Amino acid sequence: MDDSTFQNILDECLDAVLSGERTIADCLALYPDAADELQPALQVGLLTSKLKKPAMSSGSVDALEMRLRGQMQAARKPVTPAWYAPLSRVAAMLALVFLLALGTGGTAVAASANSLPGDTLYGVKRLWETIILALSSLFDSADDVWLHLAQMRLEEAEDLAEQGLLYRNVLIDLYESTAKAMVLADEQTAPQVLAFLTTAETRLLNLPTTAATEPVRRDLLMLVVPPPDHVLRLPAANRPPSLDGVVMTLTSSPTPTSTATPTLIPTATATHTSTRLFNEPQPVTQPPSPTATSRVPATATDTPIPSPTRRPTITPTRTPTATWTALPLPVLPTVQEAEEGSSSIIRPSATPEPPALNPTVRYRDTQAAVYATQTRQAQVTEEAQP
Amino acid sequence: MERVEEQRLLQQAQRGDTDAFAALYRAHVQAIYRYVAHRVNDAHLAEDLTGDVFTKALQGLDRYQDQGKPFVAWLYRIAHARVIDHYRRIGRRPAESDLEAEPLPVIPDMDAPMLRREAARTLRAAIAELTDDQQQVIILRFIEGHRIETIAGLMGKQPNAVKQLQHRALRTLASRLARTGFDIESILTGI
Repeated sequence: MDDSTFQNILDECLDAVLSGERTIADCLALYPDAADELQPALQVGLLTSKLKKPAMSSGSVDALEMRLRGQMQAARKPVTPAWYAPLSRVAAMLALVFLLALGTGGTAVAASANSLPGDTLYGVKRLWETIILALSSLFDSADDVWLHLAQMRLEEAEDLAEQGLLYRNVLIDLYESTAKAMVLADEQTAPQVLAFLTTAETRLLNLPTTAATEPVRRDLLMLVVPPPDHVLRLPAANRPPSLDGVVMTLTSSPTPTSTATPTLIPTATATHTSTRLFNEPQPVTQPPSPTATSRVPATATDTPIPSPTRRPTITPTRTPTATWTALPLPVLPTVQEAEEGSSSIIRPSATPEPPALNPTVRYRDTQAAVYATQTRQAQVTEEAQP
Repeated sequence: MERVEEQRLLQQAQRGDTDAFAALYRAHVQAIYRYVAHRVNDAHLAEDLTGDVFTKALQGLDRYQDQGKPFVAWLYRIAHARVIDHYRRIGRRPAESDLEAEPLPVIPDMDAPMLRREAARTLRAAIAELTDDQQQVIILRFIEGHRIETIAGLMGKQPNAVKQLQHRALRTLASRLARTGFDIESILTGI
């Protein structure tokens, strides 16, 4: 007799025995071939049905009802406005501007702030996030926003799991946003990302899952495993091929310092040190198209500054140290000065030069803008050196 | 509670009617409490977790969508999640010591002879050691008295899968009781 047949017989007999239509002996006589296995199963089933059914006391039932009524009354309070969410300052500013531009649509965005997957307004919430992400990239604050989104996805997953409504895509979204936050983390956000990963592991371990969501949760646990000794490993799923094998070490409170190592032309030595240590050297890009390397914290961004002279020999070097060193912007001589020979010295300065029409100077300005983006407003405090 | 009446109360509760939600709560609180109590074997903890279940249900009421299943199926899912969350939080499954710390009341006529009381205690301990799904089937089938088709609907599984869970659970329980030397037949005869 196969399992399926026996299970049908067992269930039929349980129905009959529990309802009192038949005794166990009747069933065993009816199915003698299955009697040996049927008897203990029916006996245990019947015994289990005789266990007393515990009941919650009426006082406890009343007390809980009062509590629930109170919670229901409290839930009628207005929801937290979207613009109050703990976005980064830049993102919050962008959000405010966009809300104003959106006019009446802002009401829907605000109402969607506390929505969860499955809610009518959740689509508005995600659309809003997409807009914020698009705008944040203009201000170089996508890392901040992705971290915020990862935190939000985790809270949504917890809320849904508590309600028994958690499904696979919610965790996949959480994985994606967490991985993006890790990949994009810079000096400022890296400590926050590390803190998030630490708490996320505990919270994920406590996340009730189903057979469908458990594999994704396992992947997430692999992703957020606390980095030993503050070594943050980039997630493979979001890792650019150029960063394969890169392991970076993060300090919890990086102290940006600036040093200037300008040299006399024709050689400009650009020195860029970082708090990250690298297992593998990164290729150094050469002008005239210096690669704006990824903002991933692990990337060694050697940013050689092209020399405006007629002999633009650039020798970039890299000296990994325990501090992050911003590269000063050199003040290049104007073409006129160069021709007059009155200024053949590159002088570091934080003061931007006025716009110039000369192609050489425009090129220099472009390079400076790229550099400024990469260094994210690092304060340049160096002094001019001859 | 009739299905139509339940749907009406749900709609009212989703619009913020506290009386409607209270009616749903009253209709299902004991079933949820029984389920949780049998899972955690602690009366006080069961009350706390039952409160959590209805609090979570209240918080998710706006998002609840009637998918043709009774409301209690959703409550069972929340309760199931809460119990699993509880054991994950404390980092272990229930042990026999837990079962003895705050024993649930057993049926009076089983209580009388010491042997029956001990059998009931052992049986509850054995149930607590089953897999989560098996426990759910045993409680819904033998404590709540639901039929396999109903349990399949509540658990979101196929009836054959539930029958398989039931078979394996009963086999495990029988084996556990047999190892402890209980003569189930004589115990049942005395009830």
